[in-house]
Amino acid sequence: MALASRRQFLALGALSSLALGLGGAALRWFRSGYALSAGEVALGLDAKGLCVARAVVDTLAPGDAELPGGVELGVHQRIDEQLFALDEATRRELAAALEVIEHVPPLLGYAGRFTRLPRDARADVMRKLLASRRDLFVQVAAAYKQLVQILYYSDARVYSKIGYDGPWVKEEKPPESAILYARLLEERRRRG
Amino acid sequence: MITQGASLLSTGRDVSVESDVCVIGSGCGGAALAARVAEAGHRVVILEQGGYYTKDDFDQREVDMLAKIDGGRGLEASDDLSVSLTYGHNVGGASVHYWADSYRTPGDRLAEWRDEFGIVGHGEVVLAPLFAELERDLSVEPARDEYANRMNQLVRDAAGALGWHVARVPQARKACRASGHCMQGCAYDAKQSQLVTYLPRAFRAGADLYSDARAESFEWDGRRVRAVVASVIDRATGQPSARRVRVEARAVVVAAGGYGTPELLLRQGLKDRLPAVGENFFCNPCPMTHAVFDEDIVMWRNIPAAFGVEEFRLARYAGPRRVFGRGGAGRYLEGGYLLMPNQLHPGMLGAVLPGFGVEHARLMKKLPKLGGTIAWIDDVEPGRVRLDAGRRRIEVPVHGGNAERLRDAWRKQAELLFRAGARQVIFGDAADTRIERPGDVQRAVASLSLRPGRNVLAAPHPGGGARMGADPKTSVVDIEHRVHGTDNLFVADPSVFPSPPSVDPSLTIMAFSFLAADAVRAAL
Repeated sequence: MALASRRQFLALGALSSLALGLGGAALRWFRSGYALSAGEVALGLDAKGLCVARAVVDTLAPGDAELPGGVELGVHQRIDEQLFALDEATRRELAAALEVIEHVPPLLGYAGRFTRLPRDARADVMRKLLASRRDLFVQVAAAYKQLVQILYYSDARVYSKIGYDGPWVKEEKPPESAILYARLLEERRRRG
Repeated sequence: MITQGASLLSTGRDVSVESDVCVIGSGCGGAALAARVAEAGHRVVILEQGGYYTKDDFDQREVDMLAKIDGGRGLEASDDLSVSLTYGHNVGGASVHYWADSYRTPGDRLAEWRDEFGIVGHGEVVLAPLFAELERDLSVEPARDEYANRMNQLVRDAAGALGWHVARVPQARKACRASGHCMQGCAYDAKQSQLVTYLPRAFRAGADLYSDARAESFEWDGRRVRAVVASVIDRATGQPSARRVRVEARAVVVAAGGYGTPELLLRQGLKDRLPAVGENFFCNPCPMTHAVFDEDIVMWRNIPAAFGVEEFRLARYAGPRRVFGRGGAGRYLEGGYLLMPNQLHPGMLGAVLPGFGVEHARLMKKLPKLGGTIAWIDDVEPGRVRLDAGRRRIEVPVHGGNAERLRDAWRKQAELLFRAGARQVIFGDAADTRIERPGDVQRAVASLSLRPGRNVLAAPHPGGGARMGADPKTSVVDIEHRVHGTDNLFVADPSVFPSPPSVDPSLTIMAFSFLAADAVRAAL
């Protein structure tokens, strides 16, 4: 699955660091307005990253009359789980890619951050990223397109809607990283 | 005996052991060699950085299994993100997720290795009895008719109609249940991976294996490696712990795979005196092509590839044929790949199909009628494995001769799929190129961009980064698989191949490992 263009991701993702350099006000603006919904917990990402991931999932896997939406299935939380289990360098790249998506809309003709746009506008942003002549934009969009779709279509609640009869092994046996993540998630939820 | 990381972590103590041979890696290369050496009466310790999972752990869920047995959870890519890196990260290595395709190395490729790269002692005559032994041990036989799903049948019939040479793919299977979950690890122990073949033999002969133990450094004594030190990995976090396993050995064999072996050698500083470490890398980049049919295909059941198109295994040129890493060839005409039916379950298929949202969902709702093909490109442009601030980087060239072969593979796949009855052919690129008429194939393929991120290419067969040869300036190991300038350090995996073997490499890796085992035993 094609993921991050390392140096470029980190360079653009470092917009956060730039904001840090601009001082407290800019930093507050840059990181404000990212409230998690009930039950959401950010372990692999920070709160902002998880909010952007939620908007990305809602854009790429919106669902329809038959298919559940990706957010409803918690695909954004599963993205957080994947990042939680990755090495630090790859996690930083993927987090930086979300920063790019969040702050790229003004370059594509939209006023506002990705998370503030209506779904149609977000979809247009993703289409423009995928069709861009800039490698970085395509890489960022393609990375999350693939990550969202593998997590979405691997969800058992989708199987019957697409004509897939599912695994023959009936009992799910999660990997150690998923068990640890679930435990930490539960602890954080209990603590509120 | 197998000692897993969790038990090492629970003791809170470091481990120090002695053996005759320390083998780093437990895939096709390491396991075959370990069995051979252990059965000859030598003490063997295997270090494997991945976890130990068996059929009871293989739940056939795509994401669960990516986390258990795939390096980087299937999320790693080449340096410019053009190619996804596919490799095993578990006891048994990539043999646990491979398709069980088991080809002998073609004689023409062995002759090329001898004539172009000076690889002697590894020719057809030497290897033939080893292949025969491997085929017995792994129950290799041509794919049976009952293994062929509809996509396989269509590929066989369409290739035949086009006049292309198509053949049954030799398979390492026993009592296959045809679940179609080969890539998630066989839950029935039918696929003859290292988990059920050479590793048990090695254990029966007394070999020990430490899982979750990542080899980090060598202790040197002049030209000899005295010991290997490994970090114990916490499987839940994927992070190395403070616990160490130290293996003192009379010989050390690196069999960490096409990505891992050059990385480990680079980390030991060997590049300074062996400039070929990490160079001449190849990986069989794989372009996929998808199709919508009117009939049910159900591509996810039965085995991935019962029939393969061998017509284009060797590239055709007007003039001299191109050799890996060499220029000056004639004009490229076509070929340089094997062409296979594809098998994907919905998670991976969803990821590689183009687009998103409602349009993408509409396509996925046709899942039973979706099929496709994949091509293993026989690379000719060398890539590289390098370290950048301590991090492994993989460079895969998607230009020059590799690009010519990629485009021709897309063309041939589209022609084949239309002949097989496809109503629509989908290239899966970021621009979502789809065609519905065979007459549009040339134009469509010419329009495909090869810039990073535009296509989904997998890289399942890495090798070459520790090439075999006589000259320490251009190779890493000699013809006895020993690292130049050392007395007891060997490599036994596809890193030693001078170029791609032009077929699935598993049998070639194991046959070479048998030869490496002989050299290791002689050095003890």
